[in-house]
Amino acid sequence: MILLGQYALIAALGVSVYGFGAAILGARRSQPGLVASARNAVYVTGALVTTATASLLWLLVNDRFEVRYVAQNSRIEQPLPYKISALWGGMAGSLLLWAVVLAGFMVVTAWINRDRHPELMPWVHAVCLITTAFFVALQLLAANPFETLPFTPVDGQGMNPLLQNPAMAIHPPTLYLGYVGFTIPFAFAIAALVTGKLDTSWLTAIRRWTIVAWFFLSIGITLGAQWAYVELGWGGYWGWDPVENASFMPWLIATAYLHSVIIEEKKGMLRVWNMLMIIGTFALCIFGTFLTRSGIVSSVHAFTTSTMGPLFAGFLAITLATSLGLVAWRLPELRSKNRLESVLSRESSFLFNNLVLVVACFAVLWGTMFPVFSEAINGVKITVGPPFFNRVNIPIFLALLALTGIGPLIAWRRASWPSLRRAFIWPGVTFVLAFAACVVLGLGGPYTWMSLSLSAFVVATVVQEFWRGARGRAASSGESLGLALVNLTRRNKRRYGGYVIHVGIVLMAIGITGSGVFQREAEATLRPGETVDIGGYRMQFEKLDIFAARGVDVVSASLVAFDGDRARFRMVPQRHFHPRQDNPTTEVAIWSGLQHDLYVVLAGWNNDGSNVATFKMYINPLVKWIWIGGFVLLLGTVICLIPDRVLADSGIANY
Amino acid sequence: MGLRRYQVVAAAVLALGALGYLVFTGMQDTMVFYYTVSEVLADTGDFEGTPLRVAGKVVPGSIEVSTTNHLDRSFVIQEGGQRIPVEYHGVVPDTLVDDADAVVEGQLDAEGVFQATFVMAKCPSKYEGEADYEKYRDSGVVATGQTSP
Repeated sequence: MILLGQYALIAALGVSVYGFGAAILGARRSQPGLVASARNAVYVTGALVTTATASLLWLLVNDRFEVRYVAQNSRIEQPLPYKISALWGGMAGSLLLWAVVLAGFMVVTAWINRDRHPELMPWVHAVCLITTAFFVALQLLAANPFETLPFTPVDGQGMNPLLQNPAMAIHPPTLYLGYVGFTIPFAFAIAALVTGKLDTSWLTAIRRWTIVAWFFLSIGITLGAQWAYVELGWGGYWGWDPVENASFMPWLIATAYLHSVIIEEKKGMLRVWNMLMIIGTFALCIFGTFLTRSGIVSSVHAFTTSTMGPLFAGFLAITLATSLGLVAWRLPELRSKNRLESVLSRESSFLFNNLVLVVACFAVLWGTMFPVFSEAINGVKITVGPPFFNRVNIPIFLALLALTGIGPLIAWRRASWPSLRRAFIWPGVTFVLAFAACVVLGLGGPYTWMSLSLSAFVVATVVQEFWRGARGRAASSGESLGLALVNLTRRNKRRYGGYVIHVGIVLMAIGITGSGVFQREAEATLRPGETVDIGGYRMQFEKLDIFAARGVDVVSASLVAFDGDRARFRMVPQRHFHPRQDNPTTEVAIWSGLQHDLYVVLAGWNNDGSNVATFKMYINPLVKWIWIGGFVLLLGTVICLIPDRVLADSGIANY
Repeated sequence: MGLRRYQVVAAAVLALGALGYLVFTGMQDTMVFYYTVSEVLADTGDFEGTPLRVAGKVVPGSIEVSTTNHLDRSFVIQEGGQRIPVEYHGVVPDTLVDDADAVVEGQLDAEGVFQATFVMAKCPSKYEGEADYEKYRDSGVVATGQTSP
C-alpha cells in the first residue's frame, strides 16, 4: 500500500505533466488526437491521485505506523472518524486532499464538457493538469505522505486533539472544495483569454462552478468559525487570525465576481474587471493555502514552518504573471461595448458593491501582511490585531449591507424617481422604524443601530421582492399566491436564490452584531455549592469529577444554571488530557438558545482535594443566528442550482 | 448622457481614498511592535509602557498557576539566551505548554515583568522533521502547569 500510494503519486506527476504538454501542443497545432490524449491524461491523473488518497486512507485506518504521516496523525485508540479525518489533519495529507479534490473536479469538468467548448477545453485541461502537477510535486518534494520511518512504532502520536472535533473534521474538506473549486473558473478564464473566445459561452460554462465553489468557501469559513468557538475556549469565533483572513479574502473577491458577472452576461460590460476578479480569487486561494503552510506570518493555527514557501511563491508568481499578461494582451478585445448610463442603476449599484468588496479585501490583506511589509521596509515588524480589522471593516461592511438592500431595488440601465419611490417606500420605512427602535431601546452605539436597522432593511427588500413578484404572477396567471411564489422562484432561480442567500448573510450579520457588541463575561473561583451570577443566570458549582475514558484523562466540572429559583439546565465544562500529546484540550460547555449562548470554560482547579475550580463564563447573544444563517445560505444555494431541465428558458435571460 | 470615464475614476478614487483614510486612522493606535525576547532586552528602557508583541519559547517548568484564581498565570519566555517573565490573567490557549512557541501581547512594567493582555501559542512541533519517535513509544509527558490528575 505504501509503495502503491507512492508510485501512484509519481505516476500522477508524470501523466499530468505529459497531459499539460499534449493539451497545449494539440490545441496549437489543431491535432484532435493529442487533445483527446490530454483528456485521457485528465482521467488517468484523476484515477492515480484517487489511488494515492485511498492508499493513505487505508494506511490510516489500518494503523500502519511505519508511515511517518500515520504515526504523527493517528493512534490505535483514535475513533474511526478521526482516523479518516487524519487524512487532512497534517500538512502532507492536506496537500493530497487538495490534489484529489482538484483531480475530481477536473475529471467532472472534462466529462461534462466532453462534447462542448472544443476550443476552450484543451486549455482548461492544461491549466487543471499543471495545477494538479504542482500540488503533487509539492508532496514529492516537500511533504511526502508516504515517507516511512526506520522502524515501526507500537502506536502513533495521534492527531492533535484540538482537531478532533466534528466541525474541524469537515471544515478543511469543505474549505478545499471552495478553494479548489475556483480552479475551474480560472482555467476557463485562461482558456478564453488564450483562444480569444471571449463571448459569454465560457461564463455560462462556469456559472454553476462559481456558485458551488463560493458556497463551499462560505460554509468552510463558517465551520472554521464554529470550530474556533467550540474548541478554542476564548468565547469568540473569529479573531482576524492570518489563517482566517486567508480564507476570507478569496471569499470577498469571489462574492464581487458573482455579482459583477451578472452585468457582463446582461450588458457585456465589466469584462476586464471580471477576468481580474476570477484571477484574483484563484490567486488568493493559492495564497491562502500558502499562508497556512509557510510560516511567514505568525498565526494561532498555522502548520509547521516548512520549505515549501519558495515553491508556492514561485507558483503564485508564475500564475499571476501569466494570467495578467494574457489579460493585457487581450485588452483591446475585452473593451466593453456598453457604458454605464446612470449612477442610479442596478449596474452602478453592483459596481459599488464590487468596489466595496475589493476595498474590504485590500484592507484585510494589508492588515494580514503588514508585519511582512513593515519588516521589509524599515526592518521592524509591526502587527495590527483585531482592533484594526474591526475598526476598518465595520464601516465597510455596513456600506455593503446597505448595498445588499439597495441593489435589487434599482432598475437596470436607469432608474426613474417614481420607480425608486415605489421600490424604496416600505423598506425605507422599515429601516427608519428599526433605527428608531434601536435608538429608543439604547442598543449599543451608532454602528449597532446601523447594523441592525440595515439588516431589517435588507430583509424588507427581499420580502417585498418575493411579495411583489408573486402577487404580480398570481394576478396575471391566475395561480394561487403560494404556487405563484414557487413558480416565480423556479423561473428566476439565481435571482430569488440570491435573495435567500442575502437573508442568510443578514442573519449572520445580526449574529455577529449581537455577539460582538453585547457579549458579557464573568469569572469566578468557586468551591462546590458556591454560585456566581451572569446575565440573569445563577450558576451553581456542584462538583469536580476526575476519570479516564478511552485512554483520555478527563477533569469534569458540573454546574447547574438557575433562572430565578428554577434549575434550568446543567453544564459540564471539561479538560481532557490525551496520551502522547503535549497539550490538554479545553472542552467548553455551551448551552445554545436563539437569544443567547451560555459558554462556560473550566479554567483550572486545585489538585489538593479541595475541589476549588475557576470558571470563565460568557453570555454570547444571538450567536446561533450565525449558524442558522449558514443553513439559509445552503437553502439559497440549492435554489440557485436546481437544474433547469424542466424549463425551456434560454439560459442567459434566466435570472 | 452616459456615465463619463472621469465619473468612474472619481468613484474609484473616492473608494480608495476612503480605504486609505480608514486604514490610516485604524493603524494609528492599533499598531503593535513585534520583537523577539532578545530584541526587547537589548533595549528595555525604550519599551517600558509601549504596547508590544514578543515572541519566544516557554521555558520548561516555568508555567505557574495561582491556586486562588486559576486564571492568574505566570511563565517565562526565552529566545536568544534571554528570558522575560510574563504574567497573564485570562484563559490561556491549550497549546501554551513547555517549549511551545508563544507570542504575548502587552506591556513591560517597571519591574521588567511583561503584563500580557493576549497570549498566543503554537505547540512544540518536535516530532515533525525529527527522527525522535522513540519518545512517544512511551506515554507522553504533559506539562502545562496544570498537571494531569
